[in-house]
Amino acid sequence: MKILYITLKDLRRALRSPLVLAFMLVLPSLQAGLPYLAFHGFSQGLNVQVTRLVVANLDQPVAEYPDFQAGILLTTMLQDDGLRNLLEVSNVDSEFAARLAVDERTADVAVIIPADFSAALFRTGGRVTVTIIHDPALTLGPAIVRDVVNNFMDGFAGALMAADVASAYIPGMDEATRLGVMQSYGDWAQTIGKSLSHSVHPGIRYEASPRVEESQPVMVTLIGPIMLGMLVFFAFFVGAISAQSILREDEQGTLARLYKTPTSRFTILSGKFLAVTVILALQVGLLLAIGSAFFGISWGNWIPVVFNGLGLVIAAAGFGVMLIAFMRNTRQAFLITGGVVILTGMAGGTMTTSFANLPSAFEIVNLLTPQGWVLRGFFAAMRGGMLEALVPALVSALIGLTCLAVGIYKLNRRFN
Amino acid sequence: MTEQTAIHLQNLHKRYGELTAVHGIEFTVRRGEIFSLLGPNGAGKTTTIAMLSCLLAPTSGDALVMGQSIVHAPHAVKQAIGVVPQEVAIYDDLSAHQNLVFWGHMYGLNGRHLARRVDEVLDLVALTNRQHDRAGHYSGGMQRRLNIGIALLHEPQLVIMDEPTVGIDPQSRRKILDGVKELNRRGVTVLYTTHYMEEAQELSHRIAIMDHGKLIAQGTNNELIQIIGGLHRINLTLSQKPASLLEMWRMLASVHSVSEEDGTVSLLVKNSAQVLPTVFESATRADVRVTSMDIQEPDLEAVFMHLTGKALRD
Repeated sequence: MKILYITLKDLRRALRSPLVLAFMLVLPSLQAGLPYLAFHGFSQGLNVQVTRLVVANLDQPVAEYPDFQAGILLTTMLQDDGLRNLLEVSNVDSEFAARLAVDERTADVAVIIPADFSAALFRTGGRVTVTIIHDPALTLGPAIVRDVVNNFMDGFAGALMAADVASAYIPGMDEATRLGVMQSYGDWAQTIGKSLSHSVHPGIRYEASPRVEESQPVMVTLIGPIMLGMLVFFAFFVGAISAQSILREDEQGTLARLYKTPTSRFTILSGKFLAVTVILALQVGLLLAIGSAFFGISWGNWIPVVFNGLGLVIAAAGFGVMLIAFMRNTRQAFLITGGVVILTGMAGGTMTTSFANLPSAFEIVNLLTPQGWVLRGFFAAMRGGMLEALVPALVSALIGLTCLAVGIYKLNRRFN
Repeated sequence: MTEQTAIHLQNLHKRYGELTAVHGIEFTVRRGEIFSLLGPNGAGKTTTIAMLSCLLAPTSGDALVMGQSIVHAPHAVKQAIGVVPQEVAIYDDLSAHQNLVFWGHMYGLNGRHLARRVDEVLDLVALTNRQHDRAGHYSGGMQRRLNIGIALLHEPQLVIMDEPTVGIDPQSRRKILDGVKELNRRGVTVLYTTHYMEEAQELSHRIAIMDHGKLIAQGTNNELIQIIGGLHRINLTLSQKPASLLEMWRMLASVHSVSEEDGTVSLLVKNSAQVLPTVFESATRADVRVTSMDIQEPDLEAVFMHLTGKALRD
């Protein structure tokens, strides 16, 4: 029970300290939160403002190929699922209505497809103009619309040129053959209108990584490593700061007084170590929850996450106790342990978690520090690994316990 | 060693490398008495207390505290004694009440017994009205009283006080000295260390004088004063202090010793009435004016000077 009384007393004192609270929760959340808030909202996905688009599709079918309507194809393309987060498309039936919508700011951009759109695409030497009108203060939305229209027009222009070239250079090609070329071209054009996941050539396709696309928005995959790096870095910082309570009690005379009570040194130091681990467990648990709830980070399967969390807590607490055991006073401890935690944190990779293509030698340097092992375990958990996440968790815990043993040995020698 | 013995030291030593902090001291404190360890700073008093309260292990020797060995049964010793450290050792970010509850737990108190003792101690140290204020907001005297109260929580029969009045105002000092006497009236044995001769004289049934880690004398106040055979002390303030004049005074038959401290020259003499005319006459001849003078009855300061050749505050 005495262990718990010591732990509760230390917790009460630590949680009243603005310094501990700042390093425990505020700074790591800010470190991850600032880039998140700079580029991202609190919703899932890329949060570019949705552009309100009105389309006035005045296109009329051509007599030679009545089933093909290029205007409908372009409209369908603008309404593609892939653009749903960027464009909110509505249709109007006249150019006047489209222009009025932009003027009255009920729409950001208007696309006006002329009546001879399909005809111009099927006739040699045909000319057509698709009009895009937008609020001059906007840049990103109109650019997206312009790109989609350009892609569409480029595809048709290329195919039309091919048909014209074939007509000019194939001797005796009659109008029926040319019409056949145009018909197959029309079929192809209808196909690309169904999905933006086609290149202009149906044989060439692109495919994004389903993992990134389906489970984690891009910003979240960036924020996740940053948040993890800050979590690990500040956990070691808080471990060192919390363990300073031993030095502070030494300076205040209360540690010597505790040693004069009928309470064993093992009990006293265990109570203090337990307080450090509880503070760290609170910190790690809260930061993982904040990362998940506010930034949408998926940390992985709960089993390796819990084990790596425990590994982190033990490693940070043990490392903190060992560091302060070599310090004479709190002033020295704040400077030196702070420096050591920063250096080992950097060497362990806590500051470079979002950097790609780091030299492979850096990975070896990472593993010379407890922070490196903790990061390895968490990253493996985020990738969905189990065994490869549990082994680093075990190594982290062993490092922490070894550090703790060294620290307790050193502290015990102080009063002999 | 009898049932009436509270503390019995047996050739206690403490060394730090080449430095010997405590050099084979031996003394006995009887139950129910106030026993003072008197000596200047660095005499080894605090080291002795640290060993008796089982904070430091002796290099050699042993001590029995309330019948338990500090070497072989430190846990039992700690349970039996209350220790008031020299520096205020309280949690200044906790209230007096929270401090007492925590320290009570450390002495194994719980539940109603603890609650009752906390109330009693708060009353004893006159902090009941401020019990929920942070101790860091207390005056120095209040912190000292709380510091003492913590040592009394578990109702120990022996309280060890290590210079509890250092650095506090006279009013708080008076309260503490009265508190020690009251404690002793209730049957508690007190081992009290100080470098204030007046405190030792006022409080103690018996006194041991330490210097350089050694015990140089012990006994009652009267017994110690007998060591110097009733010497009086003459304190003089002089307009100047020529070495030849002080040397001449040392040569006088009635003068036992001459020392100089803080601008005051002190002479230990057997018969002040016989010496004074000679002292004044020689001062006049040396063109030295005596600007003030007082004569003190034999006291512990004089004993210490007699035994060590220096003042207690040196």
